[in-house]
Amino acid sequence: MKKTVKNPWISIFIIVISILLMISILWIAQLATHFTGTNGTVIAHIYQNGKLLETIPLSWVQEEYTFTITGEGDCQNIICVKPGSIGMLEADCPDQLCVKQGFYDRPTIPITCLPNGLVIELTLEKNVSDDKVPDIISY
Amino acid sequence: MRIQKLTILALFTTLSLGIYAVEAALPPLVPIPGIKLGLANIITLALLHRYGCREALLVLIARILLSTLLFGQAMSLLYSLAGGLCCLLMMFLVSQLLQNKLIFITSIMGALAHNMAQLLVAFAITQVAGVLVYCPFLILSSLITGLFTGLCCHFLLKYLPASAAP
Repeated sequence: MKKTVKNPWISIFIIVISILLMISILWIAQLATHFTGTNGTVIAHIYQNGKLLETIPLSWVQEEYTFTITGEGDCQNIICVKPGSIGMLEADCPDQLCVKQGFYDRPTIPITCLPNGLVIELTLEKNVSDDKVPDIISY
Repeated sequence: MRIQKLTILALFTTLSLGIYAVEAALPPLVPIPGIKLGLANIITLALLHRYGCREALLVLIARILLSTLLFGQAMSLLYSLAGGLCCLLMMFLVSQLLQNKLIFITSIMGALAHNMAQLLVAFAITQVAGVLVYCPFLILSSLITGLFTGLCCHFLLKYLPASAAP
């Protein structure tokens, strides 16, 4: 009787895929529990091509306002800040994914506009003194 | 024979460009940048499986250049090239190891390579460590979308006439 030789790579790839599946699910679960803590000040950091442009403590924002960030090659992103949340209102990138991400009020995944190299990262900080963050009312 | 090959590869380039355009017009599945079905990869995978790495590479590069010219901007060329080339390399290696069997495993590994390459390019450009938080979402989505496109390719190869060989 002829014995069929099984390709060992099939099992190896199936094991690799299963491990990756488990890692990603556990990682997302860990992030989800991390996101729910709300004690502290939510701070938005806006970066473009690795440079920190703005730091806005969202919990202190009283009134809604918008501002435009112009980057390399005149690419434009209009960012809207509301009391407690931030989002991309308009962008001149082709896919508009950053606009579709909507408004974020807690440190989940960063709002990213890859074509323009713009990232809005939200962090949660426990004790923020008034003088640590630049005055945003004057902005 | 050469003209036949040229015509067939041009036809596949048009097909993948059309699929890419339709996919770009669809609303995103989830509001996370980087997560998409990657339907154009069906054509790359089918070419790799049916004809070889050289033909798949030619069609892939033609599709990326044309799609950037038509829909994208200079920056998206970098992302598409990094993702597409890493994906093709990974799919070539895996399909060699699996002797062209179980095409959905090839597709999943390709999708993983594509997403990880794009995440690294995103990290290199933005230089914000925060973008690495996307990693688990990208892994999970590449497993699902890779399985989907792999199955699509499996059924495509079943119905693609053998006479279409260049």
